[in-house]
Amino acid sequence: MSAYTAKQNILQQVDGSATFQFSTTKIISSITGPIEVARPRNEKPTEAFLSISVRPSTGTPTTREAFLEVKLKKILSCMINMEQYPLSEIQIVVQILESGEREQFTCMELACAVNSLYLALLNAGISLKASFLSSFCASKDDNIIVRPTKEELDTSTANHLSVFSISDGKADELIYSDSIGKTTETELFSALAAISSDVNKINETVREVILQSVVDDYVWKF
Amino acid sequence: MTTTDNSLNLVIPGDSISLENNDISNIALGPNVTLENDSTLQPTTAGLFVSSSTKGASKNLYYVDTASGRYVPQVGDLVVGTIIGQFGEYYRVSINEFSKEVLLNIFAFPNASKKNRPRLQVRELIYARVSSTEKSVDVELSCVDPTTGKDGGFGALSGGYTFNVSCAYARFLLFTPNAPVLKKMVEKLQFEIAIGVNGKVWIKSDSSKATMLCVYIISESQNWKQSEISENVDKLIKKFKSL
Repeated sequence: MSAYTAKQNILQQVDGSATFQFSTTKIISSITGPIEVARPRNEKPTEAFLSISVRPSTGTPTTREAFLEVKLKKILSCMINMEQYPLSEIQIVVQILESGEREQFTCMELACAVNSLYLALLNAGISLKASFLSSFCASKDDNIIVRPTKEELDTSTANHLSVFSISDGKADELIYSDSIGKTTETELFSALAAISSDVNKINETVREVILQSVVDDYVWKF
Repeated sequence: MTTTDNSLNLVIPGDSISLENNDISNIALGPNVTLENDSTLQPTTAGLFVSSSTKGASKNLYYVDTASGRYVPQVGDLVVGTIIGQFGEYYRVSINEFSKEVLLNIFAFPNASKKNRPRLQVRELIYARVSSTEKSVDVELSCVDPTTGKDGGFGALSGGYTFNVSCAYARFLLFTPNAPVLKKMVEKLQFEIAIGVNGKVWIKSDSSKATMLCVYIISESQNWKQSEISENVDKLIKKFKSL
């Protein structure tokens, strides 16, 4: 199982930013918003417009990054209180610093992006319906490997990613699930169970990071 | 500093906060909290949970205070803005970079008439009060004190220097009587200050060097504990004197 680190409030010129790292995968993301909509045709009368851009670690964005953007939009638009920001835009930039996986996989980057965006959204003070965290696993010969390494991912038959909402410090509802490869129903269910218990574990550290960052913001108060 | 979860009441989204008395007709919700059901509240962002029931007030107030994030205008807020244009009977004012611009009526000044009113230039700074935030309509500012009809300290800010601090720190400086850092500064320095809750602070002193010293002290004091203020201010003043 790979280690992870998280840090909030990295960038000064945006409203919120955070990094998240799963061993070899490292992502920095930033949030600016609610701001005036850059292109008038994107303006929505009742809710916020999410402009998400994913930047790869090398080269220019391709269809792979565009696909990640679509997935992130699906996850974020149901976690943000969108109706609270009508006629405005929330700009989201996800910069992959280290990919840590082969081009045909996206699970490490997506899980990392979701977690860093959660921290960045909190840092930007964007209204959220609930906390959420993501993790991933690979399956190989009826074995589930939670947070596999690059090599374990290469030799696996399938990989699963899911996002859970967190209520009272425990994984609660399944928000999003994504699998690639040959799998069975029982395997998927055991993967979801493994991921949800891993999310509980990640949450313990992440919560500490968030609360510490809130305390740091209020140094002047004490 | 260690995280003290309970004494500070730090919350993140998803933490249910149960209300002690279940009478929901008796509560008022401030920013960053939603009512989940009759007896639980949900924070919508990470911050300090504050519940206040002042004596005499009929309602219990609950909100989550957060230091980070972009300023969103609310009626009654005191803000520092920049004039960025004029059209018809309005000035266009920017109160935050990239946020939607707000309006200031050219007659929203004390005793303003068609002939006699302040003529503001583009890029001039103003101190004003948010007078209306209607949905789907541009936010409007006013430079008239609503209780007296007089200027109440509002209007153009000439000279000086403006800079940003976090919104929570701006609120603290503005609403805390004798805020420690300002109290320490007035002992040693002379300056004029206007603090906007949009996180903008305007400062003017006798010379540009003195102004920059004030700017430096206030923006640095965001990272100081209250016990360190006195020592750090003295250190900075000494440093600037030797320049």
